[in-house]
Amino acid sequence: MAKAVLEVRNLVATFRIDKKEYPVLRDISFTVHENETVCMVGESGCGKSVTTLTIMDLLPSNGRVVSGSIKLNGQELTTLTRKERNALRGKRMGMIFQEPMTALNPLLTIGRQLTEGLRLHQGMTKKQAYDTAVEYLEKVGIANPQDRMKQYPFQLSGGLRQRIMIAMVMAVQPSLLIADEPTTALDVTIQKQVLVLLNKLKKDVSTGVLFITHDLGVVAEIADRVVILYAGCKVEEGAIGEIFSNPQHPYTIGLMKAVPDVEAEEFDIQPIPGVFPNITEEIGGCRFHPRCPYATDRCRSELPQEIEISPGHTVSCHLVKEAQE
Amino acid sequence: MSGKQPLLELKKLKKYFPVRRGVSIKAVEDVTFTIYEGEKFGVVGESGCGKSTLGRVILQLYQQTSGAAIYYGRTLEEIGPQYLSHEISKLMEYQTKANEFYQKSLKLDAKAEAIRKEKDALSPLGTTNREVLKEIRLSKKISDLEFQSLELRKDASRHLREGSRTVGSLILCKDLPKVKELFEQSARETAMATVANRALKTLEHQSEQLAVEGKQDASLEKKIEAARARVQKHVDAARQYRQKAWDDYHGKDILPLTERTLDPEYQKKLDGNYETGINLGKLTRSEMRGLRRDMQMIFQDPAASLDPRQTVGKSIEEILVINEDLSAEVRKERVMNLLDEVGLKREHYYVYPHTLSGGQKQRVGIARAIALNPKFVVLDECVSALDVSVQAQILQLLNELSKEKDLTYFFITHDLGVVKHFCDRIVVMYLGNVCEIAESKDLFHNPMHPYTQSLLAVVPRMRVGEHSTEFVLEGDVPSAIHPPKGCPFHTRCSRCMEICSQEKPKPIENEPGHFVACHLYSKQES
Amino acid sequence: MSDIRRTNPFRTAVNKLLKNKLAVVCLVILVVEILMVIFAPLITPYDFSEQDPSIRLRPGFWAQWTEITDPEAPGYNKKNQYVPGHYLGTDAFGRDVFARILYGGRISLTVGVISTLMGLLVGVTCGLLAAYFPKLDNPIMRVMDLLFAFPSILLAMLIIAMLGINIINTTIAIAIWSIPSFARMVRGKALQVKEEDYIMATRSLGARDSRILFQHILKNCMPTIIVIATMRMASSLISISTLSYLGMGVVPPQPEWGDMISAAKEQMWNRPSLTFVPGVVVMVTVICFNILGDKLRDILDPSLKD
Repeated sequence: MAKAVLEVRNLVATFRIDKKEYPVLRDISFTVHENETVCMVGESGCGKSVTTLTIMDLLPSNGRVVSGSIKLNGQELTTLTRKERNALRGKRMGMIFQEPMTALNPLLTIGRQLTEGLRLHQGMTKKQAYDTAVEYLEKVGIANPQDRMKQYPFQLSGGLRQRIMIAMVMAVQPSLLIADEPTTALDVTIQKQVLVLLNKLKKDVSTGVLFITHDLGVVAEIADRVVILYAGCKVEEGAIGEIFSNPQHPYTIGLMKAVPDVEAEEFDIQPIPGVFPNITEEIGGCRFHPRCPYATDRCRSELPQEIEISPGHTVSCHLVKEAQE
Repeated sequence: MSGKQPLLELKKLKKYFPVRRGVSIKAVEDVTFTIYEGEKFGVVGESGCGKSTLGRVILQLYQQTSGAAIYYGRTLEEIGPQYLSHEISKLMEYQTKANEFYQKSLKLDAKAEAIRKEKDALSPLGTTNREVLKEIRLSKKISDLEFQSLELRKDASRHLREGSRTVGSLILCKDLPKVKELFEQSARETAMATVANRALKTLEHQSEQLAVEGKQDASLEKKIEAARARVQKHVDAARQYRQKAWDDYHGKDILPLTERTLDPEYQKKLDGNYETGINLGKLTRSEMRGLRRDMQMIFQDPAASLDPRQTVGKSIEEILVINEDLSAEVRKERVMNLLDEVGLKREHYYVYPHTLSGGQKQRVGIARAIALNPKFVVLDECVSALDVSVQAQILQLLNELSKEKDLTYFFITHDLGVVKHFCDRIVVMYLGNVCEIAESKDLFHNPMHPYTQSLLAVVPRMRVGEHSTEFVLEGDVPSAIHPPKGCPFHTRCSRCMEICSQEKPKPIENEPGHFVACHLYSKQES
Repeated sequence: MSDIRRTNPFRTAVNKLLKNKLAVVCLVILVVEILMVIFAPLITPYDFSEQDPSIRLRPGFWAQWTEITDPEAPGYNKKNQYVPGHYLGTDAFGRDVFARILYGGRISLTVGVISTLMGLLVGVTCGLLAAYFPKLDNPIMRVMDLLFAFPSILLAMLIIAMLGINIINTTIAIAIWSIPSFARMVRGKALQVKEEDYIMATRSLGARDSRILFQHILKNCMPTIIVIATMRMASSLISISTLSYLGMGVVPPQPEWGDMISAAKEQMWNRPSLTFVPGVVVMVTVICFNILGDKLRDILDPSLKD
């Protein structure tokens, strides 16, 4: 087995709203290995973005990690001081955001922004940083990198900006790359370019990638393993092939059926009934039971435990557990 | 597509946004297609392809630059648009102007002919320098004259085309004054029908108000009957006058205004221009406001399209306040029913939008759009901002509503999966141009345009481990300010030929109902 | 349906206001102040112009505790003694400061409120029209620029000089003075609101311009308007005093808060309370208006409910 880059164990985080604490992450555990892409999938509000923010220590001021551990290359992060964690950010873990325009400083040239991180984190000289930056711009498939270095973000298209973000993050050769919906704002043709690029770079730099998305089609394309979240809970995890061919949790199954796939023949998308719960809503038992077509009394009262149904494929559902027994 | 009633016809619709002097964003270019009643018509394309602009131009939220959007959901008699009589009054002008231009062009032709003779008279070999120079000069003169003459002819036919929108090929008639008179009478009847219609509407509202209060009034019923008969009388009269004009003068005494006017094919073409529907672009603002009840829109971002300072109830009620003259109780009752219909609770009447989830907000948007039983709804990326499970709920709701209420959808999206499942017919757009129009199944089984093919190839699929990189498009969409010459897609097309960078391909019906604008196929045609 | 919550928007707004302690305190202070000003003759027996040369420049009630009150004691000064009844002391003409504050409040508060409201009405209308109709934008905003560029005091003086010196004209001058700042801010906000999707959505419902403008754009500009209004209220109070000081506001002996402050500046060192007392009154009033405006803005924002 490859080396584990990121290990998250029993992570619990809360948000304080109107002087009350509401859990947003309830006991999340997963591992990202070297050279592996783990996709975190779920609807908005399921806690996938909060997970990345927790790992990066970028939680908003009303958020707080209650318990659990986050290990990067074996080093515990939760006990580090703020300063130490700042030093890790951008050096050993990099992040790509959904909207590349907001992540780039509009007043600085691309070259300046690219070399800054290199000089800061790698201690390169100006010349070295410039050469590395050009090299990475070439790697992400940008023609005339020298010219691009002189341009400002507004002169570039959305796809180009996202490539530059990727170059910027990958140039420091982080051991973990977190990509938060990096292709959601892009057109399909550009999305494909970026996905192909990410796959290629991952192998070159041999990082672990934590990829956040809500698009199951993108998951199928890029993921090695999938973690499915619902309302702050992990409901299912498994290798990509397992999850797509043999989904177990009713939520996973529902999601798969709700996606309008271009391959399918008939109008056969089936919505999951009901409304996604608000984080302030208290739901006893399994978080999914109000929307689950198979919910039993046990689901309403008791929180399901995670069980492993085949190596690497875990599910948190009473029904699956009962079926196993 | 025979047997289906057209609801909306776009003819060479163009929309340019001026940026500054002489520079404009060419958002929509010469879009021509027809949407039929009850259809779910999808528009797919990447961002910047003009799909959203197109939707808004159809609804006249943006003024079109040129071309026409003709609406058939209402008869002329119901709306009684002002442009009708205005156009009729200009008929004579169109005819005389066309004739004038043509005569001028004939004169130029004669001049050119004379010069050509002079040129031919020169010694064929052009031995001396002077002779060569003269020949060049004469040729230039000829081509100048020919160009001017051509422009004049174009002007002439442009005038005839404008005229034919009102009367078809009758514009060529010698007896145009008489035709005009008949059409004027028809327009007068149309106007009267419109007035009668309005009176009928008021009566109907009164009756609805009574029904809500639980009362009945027999005399009101009688009045409504009478009003209805009056409307019908005017409508029939208006139609009869037009029919008479058609019967008496169609194809007879055609003036040789241009050389083509005697050609039956050309006459047919002019007849084809005859507008029986309502030209949305020519309506006045208040007329268009009246038509808004028929043509509604649902926006992409459900949060942004609701006023944050209005309760849900007030938001939905607004459309009733604007368009209908109803009492507060009737309005509220209607809103409550609408909330039921779109799957919201009645309590939601009193809450503010920010307390709702994305899906619920979009339901409010839908309730508002269907409140007046529209015929045509533009759905602008209306499920793109939603999560998949909710997206499926909304699509299902839209599907049910379309069946229940005979809605016609104009579904704008970038998501190929969604259109495939939702739409009957699809148009693929690229950089403001139509690439391909086909029935949904046809498009996905047999994509013909290279752009459609590459789009389909890069769509993420729910299958593991079989992702080709074969059709991955290089580069970005070119700027709409300076679109490429020729086929707009040729800069990224893998099958680009020489002609592609020269000439813009026209949509050609390659298979029944399957239109493609690509030189790859036009070659086979010719 | 029985469980439908019917809510009267006005009642909920009042309820929310009453829940906020600071806002209630401010409201109470303002209400008491206004009542006192209205019923001034019932509260104080003195008249604002009544001079008593025998008790010039006397301190207020605090002198009882700080001064030597025993006439026999060394250091006793009769001029530093509190005259019972003149709670806040007397000014250089021996007029009662408390009475002058009360009567002066009539002018200051009315002129402040009315001129702000007048400026608001005209300024907001101009700003909205300029933002909504691009054709009007340039003409309206250039006029505003002109008003802005003109030194404000000079402008007010010019207007008063043209119309004649009286309190109504002063009010008008101050109102005109505040128009451009309303217009500018509202135009900026309205331009932003105009581009929102819900404006396009309302237009697609068939709404007329007037409806879009007043039902939607104006409503969504309200927070901005309230904030500027409270700010202008403060500067209006100060403007009146400036004009009074220049002899273009109130005519003596008519009291007015700002005028009282400026008149007291000669006694700044021997009787600072003459400056201090009206100063505190102006400050408290302005702060109360500001806080109330702030809270009002929050209350009118439905997303900050509960």
